[in-house]
Amino acid sequence: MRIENTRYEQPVLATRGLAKRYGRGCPSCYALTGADAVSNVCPRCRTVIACQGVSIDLYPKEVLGIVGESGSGKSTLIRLLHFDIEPSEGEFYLRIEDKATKKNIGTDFNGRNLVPLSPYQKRQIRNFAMGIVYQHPHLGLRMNISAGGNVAERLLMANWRNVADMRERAGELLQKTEVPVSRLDEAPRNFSGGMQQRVQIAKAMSNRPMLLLFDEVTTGLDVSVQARVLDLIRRLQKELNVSAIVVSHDLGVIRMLTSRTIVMKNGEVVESGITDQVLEDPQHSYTQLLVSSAL
Amino acid sequence: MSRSLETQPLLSVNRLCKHFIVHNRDGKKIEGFAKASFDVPKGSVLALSGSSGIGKSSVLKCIYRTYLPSNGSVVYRSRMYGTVDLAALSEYRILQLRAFEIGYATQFLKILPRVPALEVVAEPLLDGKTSPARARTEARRILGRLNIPAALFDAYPVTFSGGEQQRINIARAVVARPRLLLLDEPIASLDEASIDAVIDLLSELRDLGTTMVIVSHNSKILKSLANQVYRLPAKPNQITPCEADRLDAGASHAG
Repeated sequence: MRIENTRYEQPVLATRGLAKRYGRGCPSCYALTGADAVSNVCPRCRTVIACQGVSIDLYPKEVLGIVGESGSGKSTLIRLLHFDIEPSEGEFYLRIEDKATKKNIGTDFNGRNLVPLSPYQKRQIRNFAMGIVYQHPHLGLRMNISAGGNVAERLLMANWRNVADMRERAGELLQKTEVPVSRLDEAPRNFSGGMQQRVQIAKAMSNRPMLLLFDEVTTGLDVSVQARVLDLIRRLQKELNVSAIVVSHDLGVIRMLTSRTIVMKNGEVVESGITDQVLEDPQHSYTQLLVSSAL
Repeated sequence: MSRSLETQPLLSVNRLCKHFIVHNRDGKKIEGFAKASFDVPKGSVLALSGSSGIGKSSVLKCIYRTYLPSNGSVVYRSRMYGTVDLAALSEYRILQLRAFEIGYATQFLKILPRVPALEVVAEPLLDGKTSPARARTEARRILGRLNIPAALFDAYPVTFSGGEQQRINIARAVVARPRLLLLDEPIASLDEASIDAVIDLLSELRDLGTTMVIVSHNSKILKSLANQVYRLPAKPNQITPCEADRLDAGASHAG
């Protein structure tokens, strides 16, 4: 018996040659920056090349890690994928297959480069297909609105209209993310860092996205809180069977959460592979340095 | 299925080489092993032997693709994808084969903290086809066979003794009854009674059709479990350019 699973071998997300530059740019920008250069600032025109030539594939139900030091372009990449910023070059594709997302936005976007779409269309895709958790809770949450209200806001964007349903869903999510339901009506500014992060996770999952993005979600939390947040992410990803991208500079986080990993330096991908291979048999000199620097 | 297919080996390693380039030390080349070649028929057990440091664990890691082979091929007759070269197969398919066909137990326990022993062992069965209750029952049965006291089932394996951790490792690798099982020194830190329990469990698995490659020095394993022993060739003294083999290695595994 052979399992017919070629459908799963097509990525749900793919980028080709994605680049982001800040500055007017010059013809030699891309050549003078990147992994082999000293930095990602063009020495000729001082343009910052936050990332360039990024081509990645994300497969169904997979967790992909993006690792690299500060300034390697990993957060830029995740913001490009979330349509927070516009790429300067490149293409971005999603394949919408799961029932819930299909029902809401159909499959018209499949196989189409999403970069030239209108802001409205991008918002549609973001609201129905994606969830994001930022390093800083204030980027993902409204600090003065109740935890429940934060989740409800996200549900409103995904066209939920019934208040009782939204309240029920918010309660259910906060329970899943181990936020005491008794604090549903309290504002996140009163919460601890770890709890704010868990409200963010609840909010990101509320619209049942096909894609979850995590940007340095445990950075700045103390270790015991970090461990709880990581355990939570691992459990939820398995339970919900979504695809996810985890950005971290911490190899421990990458090892724990991901099955494949890409390594970035100065805005470029220098290596990609199965996570245990990248960690045990790193090929690029930068990855070797990164792995040997781990505590 | 034709007879010739039946008699073809499940795993065929051909002139497999591994070396490491350490960039941060001026591109120094470290030999892992060179020109390992062996066939493992379906349902049989091959023991890898050779002195310490000769690269036995590296061979297993190359088959499992924790290491990227430098040269040569690892031809595996998979159920999911037909005959494939594990040395060159896509990452996605390697991960699928790891999930459904190929098990691996390392020498040392490398698992997630804060996960109870029973969950660690049951996890490979939770692929959507087995119910969680059945997965746990099976995990309990395997742990019992390996003499792990029931009182430890809910404890975290990081707190276990070396021998207990090793048995957790084996339990996790065998619970899903993989078609191909790679074992790295499975009994190195076990007492006599545990060794017998492990060999007993592995023999049963072999009789059910699992093919195995085992790194071990233990005479009991070699005598009662292995069908053949492969001695890894000594390392080349100095830099042997693996690249030179590329052409004939590519031509010779056509069959």
